Amino acid sequence: MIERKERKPYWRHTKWQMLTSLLPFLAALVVLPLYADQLNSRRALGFPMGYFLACHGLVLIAVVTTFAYINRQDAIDHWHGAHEDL
Amino acid sequence: MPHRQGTSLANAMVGVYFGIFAACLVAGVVLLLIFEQLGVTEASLKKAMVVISVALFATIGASAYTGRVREFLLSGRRVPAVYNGTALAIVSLGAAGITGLAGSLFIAGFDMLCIGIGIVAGLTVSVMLVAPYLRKFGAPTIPSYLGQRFESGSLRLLSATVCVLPLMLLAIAELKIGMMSVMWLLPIPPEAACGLVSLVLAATILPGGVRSISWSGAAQSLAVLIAILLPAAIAAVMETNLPFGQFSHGPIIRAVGRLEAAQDVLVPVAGLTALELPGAGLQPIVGRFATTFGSVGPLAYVLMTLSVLVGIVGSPAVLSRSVTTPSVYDTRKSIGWAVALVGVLLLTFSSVAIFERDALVGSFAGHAASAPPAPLQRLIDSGLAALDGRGARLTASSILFDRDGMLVALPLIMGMPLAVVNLVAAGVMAAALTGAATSLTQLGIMIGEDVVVGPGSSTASDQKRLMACRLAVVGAIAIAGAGAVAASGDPFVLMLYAIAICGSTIFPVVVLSIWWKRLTIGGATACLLTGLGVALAILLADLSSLGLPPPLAPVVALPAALVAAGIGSYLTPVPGRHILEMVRDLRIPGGEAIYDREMRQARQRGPRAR
Repeated sequence: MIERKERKPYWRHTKWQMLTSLLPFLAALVVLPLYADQLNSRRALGFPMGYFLACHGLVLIAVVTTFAYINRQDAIDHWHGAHEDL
Repeated sequence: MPHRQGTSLANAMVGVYFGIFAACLVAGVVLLLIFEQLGVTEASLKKAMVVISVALFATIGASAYTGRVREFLLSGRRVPAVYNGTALAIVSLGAAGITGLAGSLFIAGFDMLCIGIGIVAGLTVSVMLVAPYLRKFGAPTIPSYLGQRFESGSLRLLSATVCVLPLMLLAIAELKIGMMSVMWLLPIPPEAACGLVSLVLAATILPGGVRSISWSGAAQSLAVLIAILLPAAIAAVMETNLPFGQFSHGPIIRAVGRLEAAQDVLVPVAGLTALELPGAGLQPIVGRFATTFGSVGPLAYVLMTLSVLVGIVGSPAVLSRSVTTPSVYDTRKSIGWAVALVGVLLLTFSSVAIFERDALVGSFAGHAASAPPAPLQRLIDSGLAALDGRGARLTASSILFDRDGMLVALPLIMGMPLAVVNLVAAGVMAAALTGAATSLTQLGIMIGEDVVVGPGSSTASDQKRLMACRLAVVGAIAIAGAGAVAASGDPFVLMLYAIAICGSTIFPVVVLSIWWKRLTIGGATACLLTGLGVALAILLADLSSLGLPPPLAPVVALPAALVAAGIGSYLTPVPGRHILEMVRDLRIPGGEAIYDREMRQARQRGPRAR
């Protein structure tokens, strides 16, 4: 069980973790498709690069971001004693 | 371990049971394949496919009967992350999304990725902002959560009213796709198809509520994955010699680009905020596959991605699937699984679209309109394509395709056996059953718990609460069924409208209720009302000419709702100590679920203390 004095540091740590995961992800989500047209003349693994980044690239970024977030947030929970006693 | 009180982990044999289910499904398809070769009629094979899938789903739903409220509302909070994540993936896409997205990618190409990527991104953002915190709170519905979080019965009623609209739209969209898939398999009228789907839904929801739909939903989702991934893998082997078409269709895209140029397929250029989605029914290919921003402008593409993102985070159907896991950590993991599965399905849809284009665009060059090539003729015979009758020669613009049928069209185009075609149709039906069951169960529980029983739910008897929920589910099925038969709307558009309403109303209030302690009842009420009012105004007025198509409603409604929440909160007194303590507790994964604690304390106080 988390100690009372640990609540604020835990929430500060959680907020930073959320922001550092969310903002780069949103930036990629907005920026990558806008350059798809220019990048389509190049190739990546046989695909037009713009299409590859806007489709496969964003899916990969989403999966990596999600699992990295889950892993890091679990570490934060344990570090501050906020985890569940399973 | 007080927070685990009354919770037992899922049956250790559950993996074996789902293995048996998958084996039964595959064995059924192989059996039908053998019967097909033995000369059994097409109609009998289709009937057998419906009977096999419906019997499997209804049996699982009915065998999950429960007389306990905790099981009926929350499935006992013991659905393992992987099964929950599989069902969550299919619910977030929905049958309308699955058929609509696969068909739109075929018809409009690259531009339609904005919707699929929005769904994947929505799940990713949900794991950071909302879902784990709602699991810690533990309430079965969004109105229950908001009602207890703000200690307000009126806010609970208001949020239930707001949630009814998107949930009913989603249920109608799913039922329409369910009816369509049944009519692919059985030669029956729409009313009979709706009756059959409604009966299966009643059989899978009424016995055990969320418990039933958790287990039947996991089985249906497994069937959907088999039905989509198996034909896609066969098509990939035929086209690229590799079974993973999701990662090997690159060279085919370039080959299709050359074919499209030779066939004079158009290269349209969309305005900055243009958003032209392929409609339901028959229509021609609108542009080359890999060409960007032909029917969706660059700004509209980004805004559509973000609108779908916030809609998925705020969708009550998706959020309801996030609170049935054994722990907060399992909720995070289950959404991780859902992100991965939706990502794989999105890549599958784009590979299916490109394989279909390759087979079709490459085959009709030089053919007379009176003698279409074999793949196209098979589609025309099954009603999934038609010729517009203009010109003596086949061109890309003279062939019309059924958007919602393009997933079922893949095995037909590739010349696969009828058993595989029926498997895909049954998979679409399973997706529709999962999506509709989730929305209708949420509707029933919301009306039963939050409206009929209301604040007395903590002290009402289990029988009364279960009866209220079951009757409300029956009512919701009847209304959605009547709506699906009567409404002529496009299911994909209904789904996008529901997502737009969720992103404008539920998203801001739920996110702020977790991340901003200062949010008051006044702020939350203003947020919900403003978001709903602005979203409905945009949806009904259709401001496409002003650069604001209806699916982009959250672009205006969400900022308006946030501003209203801020003003409403600062004009009303700071929340009390108990509410602030509840919010602090909500942010910590460990400890007892807040909903359980509040209900227990309310029961201890008794009905008079309320």
